[in-house]
Amino acid sequence: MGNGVPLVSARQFGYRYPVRAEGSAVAKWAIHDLDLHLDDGAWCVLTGASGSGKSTFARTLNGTIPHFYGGQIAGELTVCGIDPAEMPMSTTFRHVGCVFQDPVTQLFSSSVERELAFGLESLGLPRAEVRARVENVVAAMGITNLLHRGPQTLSGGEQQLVLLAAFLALAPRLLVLDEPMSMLDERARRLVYAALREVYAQGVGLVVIEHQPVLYSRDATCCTLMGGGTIISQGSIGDVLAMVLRRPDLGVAPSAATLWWHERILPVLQCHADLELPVPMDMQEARELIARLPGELLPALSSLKPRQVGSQAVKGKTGEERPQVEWCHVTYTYASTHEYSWLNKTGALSTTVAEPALRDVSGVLWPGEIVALLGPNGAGKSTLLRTLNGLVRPQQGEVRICGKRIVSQSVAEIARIVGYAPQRPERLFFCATVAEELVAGPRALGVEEATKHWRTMLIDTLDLAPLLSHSPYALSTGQQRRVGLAAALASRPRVIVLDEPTSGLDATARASLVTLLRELAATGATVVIVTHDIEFAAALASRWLILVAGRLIADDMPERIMLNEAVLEQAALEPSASYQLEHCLHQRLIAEHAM
Amino acid sequence: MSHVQEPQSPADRQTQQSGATLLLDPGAALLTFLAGFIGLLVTTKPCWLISEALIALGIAILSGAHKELLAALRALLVFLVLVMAASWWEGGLLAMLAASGRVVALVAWAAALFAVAPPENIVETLQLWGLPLRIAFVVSAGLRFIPLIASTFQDVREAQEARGIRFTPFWQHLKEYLALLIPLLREIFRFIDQLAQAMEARGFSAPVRTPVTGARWRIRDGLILLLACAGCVTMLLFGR
Repeated sequence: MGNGVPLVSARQFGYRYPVRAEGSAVAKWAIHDLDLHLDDGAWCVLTGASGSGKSTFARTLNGTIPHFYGGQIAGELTVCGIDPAEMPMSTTFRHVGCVFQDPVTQLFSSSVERELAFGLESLGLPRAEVRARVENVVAAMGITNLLHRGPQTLSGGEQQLVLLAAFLALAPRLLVLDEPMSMLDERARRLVYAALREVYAQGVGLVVIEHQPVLYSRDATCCTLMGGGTIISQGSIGDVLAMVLRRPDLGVAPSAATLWWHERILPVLQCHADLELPVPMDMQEARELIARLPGELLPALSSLKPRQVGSQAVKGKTGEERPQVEWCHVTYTYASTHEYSWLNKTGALSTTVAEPALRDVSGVLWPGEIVALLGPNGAGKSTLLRTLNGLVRPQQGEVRICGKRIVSQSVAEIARIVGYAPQRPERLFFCATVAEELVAGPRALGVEEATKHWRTMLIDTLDLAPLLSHSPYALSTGQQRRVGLAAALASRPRVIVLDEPTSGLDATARASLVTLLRELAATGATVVIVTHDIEFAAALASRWLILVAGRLIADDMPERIMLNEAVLEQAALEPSASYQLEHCLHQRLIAEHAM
Repeated sequence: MSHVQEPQSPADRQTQQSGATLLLDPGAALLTFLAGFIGLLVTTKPCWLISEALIALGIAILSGAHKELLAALRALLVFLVLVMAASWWEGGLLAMLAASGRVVALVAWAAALFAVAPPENIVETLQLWGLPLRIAFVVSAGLRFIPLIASTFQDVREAQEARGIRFTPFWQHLKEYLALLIPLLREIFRFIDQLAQAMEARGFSAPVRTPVTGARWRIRDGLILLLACAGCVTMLLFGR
């Protein structure tokens, strides 16, 4: 397809933004000494800790940097034979597509069909060919049912599919994607992954930025690990994951299967030095290895205690018997917002459907508990969360916090006891520095001095000390997430509500978050988390609440829910990796014992 | 690849699915709107203004835009009441009816316009008339993303309130409105920046573009436009 011209050829490539870093004499190089070569047929996963330069490098590939950002470039970079810095983006886009992190800001047409046609119009093709290509790509991606819908009305997964289709229609040689799976439930991830395979099958090279490279272990041809603005390691995904297992400071998470093997099997293996077994990269390899475990290991493995899923149930841990949170037959329906619908007839941002977002939800949360709210996209998880701080007021039923009804309290009053970290905490920022941002909430509530030590603890646990004098808007996405979390918790609330807290966090930050939340629960606070991250929920939560179409279909310990296939199917969930592998090991031990 | 029948354009499908009972070429719809708008501007006699308001309301309802019209009038209710109060104070009942009729007519004409011609169709028409895409796009983008900006304002306000920052009563918490304005402006500028990058990533600045719709004037479009122009001229001659 490319006549031997490499997809990406970078030699000693470097880039620095035009804004000076605070406190430095010169601006810091965001990328430096980067060498990368990708040929036709490459599916490269680009991974690394937050702030390692992945997104910056992605933007150089299609010319967004430097055309939009300016700055200084060093070294050489050619993409599909052209220099993106020299060519206008109106030329580069014919060869390279770039799907950024947030689909909402990349969909700007009134219908999916127009969205797909937009790029084709820019190619100056005849009208009939534009329409034909749209039809072809719609059939290839299986999105015929979305064709006449407004892009803003689609789910996150559907938006990603539309974006992929829009770029596939342009027939580029290379497509760059920045975390395409973030914020998607399991079902949507499968759809998007299948779409990526389709794109790849049509001869388009892929560069995918991802914090969890194992997601692409089946199809990716190579993996590149970045750190500190340069490439630390290149090779297969297995090679990179083996390296990050030895170097947790690199901020990349090994797969859950690898971690499980490392923690459960390797300590036993170490007593049998003559046995050598590979470390599995993903679930399939782990199952195969369990099936092939030598017989002499099994007695030692059978003596291991079953691994605890989630944290200990802590009802009444602090001696209080009163629930911290109560939902009593809560029902809520979003009001339709027709005010602006005449402006976007075919792609209304607001829904006209009056389906309840919450249907007769009842539940109780206790002090010291960590509870995960799980379910498919659109199930009502975020809505239920927002009933706790008064942002959503149920039309039926009531919500009590620490025994008191909150219906008559303002959101600002409830903020004294309920801390809320939304999905996009960067929207909270309005101060000049991180330090000021952390103090803003407590100051408004009049508890600035009383919570000083608490804030120091948050800063230490979330590793924010180096960032205190920085502008919160100058931070990377992962750093902003950490600051947003700290800002939401700075007033030392009794109930802590977190909406997708792990999104955008690297492995190091996720581990810090787990530690922090456990410490908070130990003080008696109730922690409620909405998450799609089943591994995070399994590691942390003592109880899961499963929401589907506004109804609470399960409220139980994680182990019991993971045994219930019907619930998992409805909620588009899979059991956690550690649960599945424990079960697999248990089956192997039973079979061996039976023999 | 051969086709027995050329696929419908997105504009045709959108217009058919919009529920509009009156289908017009976007250019004809835009010119008709302009004729109505000019008529509103030049007319000073209250009876003529009220008449045009009634005609505009009727056309908006015929176009299938009654829900959107009601929603827009609801959103403008405070402004409308202020206009009515001021004009009644100035010139009495007839002046009040004329002033409010002007506002209602303008909203009705706009509702009817977007019912029969979605913003993107209008942008393409403006392009075909020679307006640079960048300018034409500003028109439709500005309209389409107003709800998003309103939604962002709401999200920012809620997020700040959830941190304990109060905004009511207004006079006691003026300083706190920085906590609204700064994040909102940053979000808007960030959105604009990312939107621009996304559009350039799909060739917005390409020197040659193929508008996928194309002009589709029919006899009916010409007749309706002629009628609108006749109405405008009539108001110009007799409505002042």
